[in-house]
Amino acid sequence: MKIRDWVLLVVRTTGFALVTATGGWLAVPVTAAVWSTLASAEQRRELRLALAASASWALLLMWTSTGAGTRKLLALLGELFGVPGWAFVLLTLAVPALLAWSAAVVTNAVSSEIATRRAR
Amino acid sequence: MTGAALPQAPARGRATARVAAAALVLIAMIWLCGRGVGLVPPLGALVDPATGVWALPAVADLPRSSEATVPGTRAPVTVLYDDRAVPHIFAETEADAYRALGYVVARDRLFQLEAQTLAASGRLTEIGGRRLLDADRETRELGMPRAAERALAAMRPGTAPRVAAEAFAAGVNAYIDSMSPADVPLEFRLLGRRPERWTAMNTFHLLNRMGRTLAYEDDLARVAARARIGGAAADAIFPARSPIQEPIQPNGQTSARFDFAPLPPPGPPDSAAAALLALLGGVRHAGGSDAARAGDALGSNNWAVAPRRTAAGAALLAGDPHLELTLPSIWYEVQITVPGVLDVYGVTIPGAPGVIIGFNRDIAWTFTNTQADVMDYFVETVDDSLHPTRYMVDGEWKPIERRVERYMGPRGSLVAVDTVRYSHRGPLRRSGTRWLSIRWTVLETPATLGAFGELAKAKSVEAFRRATDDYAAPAQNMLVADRGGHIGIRSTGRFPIRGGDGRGDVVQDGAHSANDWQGDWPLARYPGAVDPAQGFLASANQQPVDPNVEPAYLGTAWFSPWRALRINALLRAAPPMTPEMMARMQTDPGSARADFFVPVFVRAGARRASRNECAEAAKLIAEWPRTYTRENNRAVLFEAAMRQLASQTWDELGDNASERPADQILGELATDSASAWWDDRRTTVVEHRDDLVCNALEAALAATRQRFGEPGDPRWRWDRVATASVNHLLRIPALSVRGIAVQGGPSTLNPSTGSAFGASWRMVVELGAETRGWGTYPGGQSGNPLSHRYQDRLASWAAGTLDTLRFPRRAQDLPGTRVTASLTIIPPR
Repeated sequence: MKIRDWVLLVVRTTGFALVTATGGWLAVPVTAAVWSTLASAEQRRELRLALAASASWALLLMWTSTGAGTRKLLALLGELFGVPGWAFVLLTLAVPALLAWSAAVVTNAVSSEIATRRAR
Repeated sequence: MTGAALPQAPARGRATARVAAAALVLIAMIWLCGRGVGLVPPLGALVDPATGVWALPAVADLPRSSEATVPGTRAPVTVLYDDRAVPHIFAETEADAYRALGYVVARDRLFQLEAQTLAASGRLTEIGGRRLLDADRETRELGMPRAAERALAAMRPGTAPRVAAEAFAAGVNAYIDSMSPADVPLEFRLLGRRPERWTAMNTFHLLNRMGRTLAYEDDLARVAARARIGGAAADAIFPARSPIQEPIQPNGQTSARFDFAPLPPPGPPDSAAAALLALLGGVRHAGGSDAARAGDALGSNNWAVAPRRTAAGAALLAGDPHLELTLPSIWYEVQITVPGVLDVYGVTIPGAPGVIIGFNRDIAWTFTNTQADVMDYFVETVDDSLHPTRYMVDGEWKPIERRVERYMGPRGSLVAVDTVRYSHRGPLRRSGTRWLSIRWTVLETPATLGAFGELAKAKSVEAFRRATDDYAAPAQNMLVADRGGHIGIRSTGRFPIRGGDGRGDVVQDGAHSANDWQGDWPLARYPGAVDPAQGFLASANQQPVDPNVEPAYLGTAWFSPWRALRINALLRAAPPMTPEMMARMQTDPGSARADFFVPVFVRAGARRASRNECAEAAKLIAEWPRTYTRENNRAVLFEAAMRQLASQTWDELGDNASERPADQILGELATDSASAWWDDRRTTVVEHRDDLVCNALEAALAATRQRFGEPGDPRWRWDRVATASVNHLLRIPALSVRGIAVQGGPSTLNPSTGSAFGASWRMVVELGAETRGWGTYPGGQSGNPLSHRYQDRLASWAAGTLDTLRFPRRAQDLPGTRVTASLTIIPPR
């Protein structure tokens, strides 16, 4: 990746973190859709947005959940749902990635369709 | 063009498929995150790293210092949390104190507040869906929500209890309003639910729920017995008079009296009783628990000792109400101080504005359940067996009141709609084509809340008794001691006076008003005593008054008095008592039941020495010191023998253990070696007592060997066989603690082994120059499973030790080193 890509990743990660903290999980697909539209020329932008969304939640996780309390929580969640505790960390990172990726892909398709129709 | 387009088709197809897949993922994710699926809660709110479950560890413990505003507060309220996480509330007015109480209870126990409200008002379907509909129907068909509404409506605005309930509600709602999304308790997240606002009505729901929890009846077992063995035999094995008399109201005896008499033999089946059984069976899940069975595993105790029998010359009081043990606990410990008005320490039930059991500077009090019969059934004559609109009383039709009950699902869908009907007596329930009214004091109890408010202010035994004069339900054996050296007890609550023969254990004909309740017992007749000559008072759910002293019908669902025998024997023999001795008694491993039955087994083994297995089992039981210590390895055999003995003796009553009489009746029978009851009808020979006892011993030894190995195998240890459990309110295993080793066993003072019931709060108070208290309960102050206060008291509770309770007069008297958190509630600007 080029420096520009890293900068974009940091900016997007920070952005996703901020919108999640203020608007909750629903802000992730909305933001991804907006960004996807704005960066229509960017290659593989859906995956990049997914990566940034996931990284932003990882960042928030590190911010809110460290220490003995989190280990206890992981053990508790694992016992509650009958899965290893770390599965919840994976789930937490997968949720924004899926939301951002799917929203970006759908937005791209819709905006391409609109652009094509306008061109006709 | 056609030739150029052909290669693009697969690529376009892939792109379309990718977009379609993404759209599906997007829809599925938004659905999963926003609404959840089935039992999976909405994922978005659950795993949100800023405000989801990940935020819970950060809010698991109270902030060191915080401020809050509660609407209506007149002056700042200081709340200091001590090193046991107990909030000490210092307010200038009572209403402010209850606002603060609502706030601190909500902060620690918000989900419990909601869960018990849903359970008490028949709204569990809102969290559990259709599978909880039966439980909700039970609650609503009993008239519980209607009763709460009527109780609140009957309480005039401005009266002390109503002000307290509304102030408490304001405190709870202020906390809910101030919560950040991160503060939402785990259970709400798992259920995908937001906390509801609290109303004063919820307090009445809670009190009604307690009334239901403490309702015990043995009507169904008695009627079932009548159907099988006839009236005379059934009445003898389910007697209104306890054959072992060790009443709460001292009767001048220096030891228990055994009024044993030969039991009538089983008679022919009674067809009328069988018809009645079918009628009652259709409605009788309603009331409470089955008394005879509960009596072994359950049992609240209390006792007080007069100054002349204590080492320090100050009255001592001990109490341990036994209830279902839950996490978080049913109790929440608190001090409430309003200078010149109220200065009380003890436990409240989350949702109740005040201390329920505790002490102030002058008195200490505690309760056990009275077990009185306060629920009756009336067969009504109705105009239509399917959809009745009228019922007949004294030849005249009266209108039936109808109330539509709607049951909602977790996401607001309608689960069911019922119509609950009411006569003037109470809710009507259908059994086949017949309708029964239920009359129950718990549904008619507007005065209860006021009594709790007043008794906390009493300064003497006499004042306490006056404060509880109007207390109605659930009937409790209220024990009190004061700093003046007085002790007193009274079985307090509404006890109905019935028409006819006065019995409440039969189904009455509702067509005649003469069968209605005619009034209530006057206070002067309530069982009780003050400063008895024996120098102590005690209660353990036994028959409260000797029927030779007060023959009037009060009930039949008395627990076997084994615990009362043990308490009184210990107190009669005790040297001057100290608080430590009182605390040790609460987990005393001795058993009057074992003292009674071990010799029965041993003698049978000796008389049938030729039966090797029987003699061996009897010898093993004889080695047992009759104490349910954790390490003892004989109680397991004794309990197996007791189960076998009951099963084989009461074979005439069928296989349902809940339809067998209590152990004290088995004890009565044991004095009659040739009773027809000893014959096991399933065998071809006629057994006598020792034959059957030997059969029981042999079967018990074989079963114990098969399950736990040879005697001496470590698996025979009591604490590996019988343990206590404390379940989460939703019975989620991960949030529960099971398999807790404790000292005690069936019918001991700590009968919590092998069940999820037990001593829900243990307290000892010494009323000397300064009132001193000790206590604990199984669990912790916090309802947050991630808090170290969630179950921090379990270990000491299991060990039977009590913590010192800090009772500062002023906020500044609580040493800074003991303060773990503070909260200031400030009036709104």
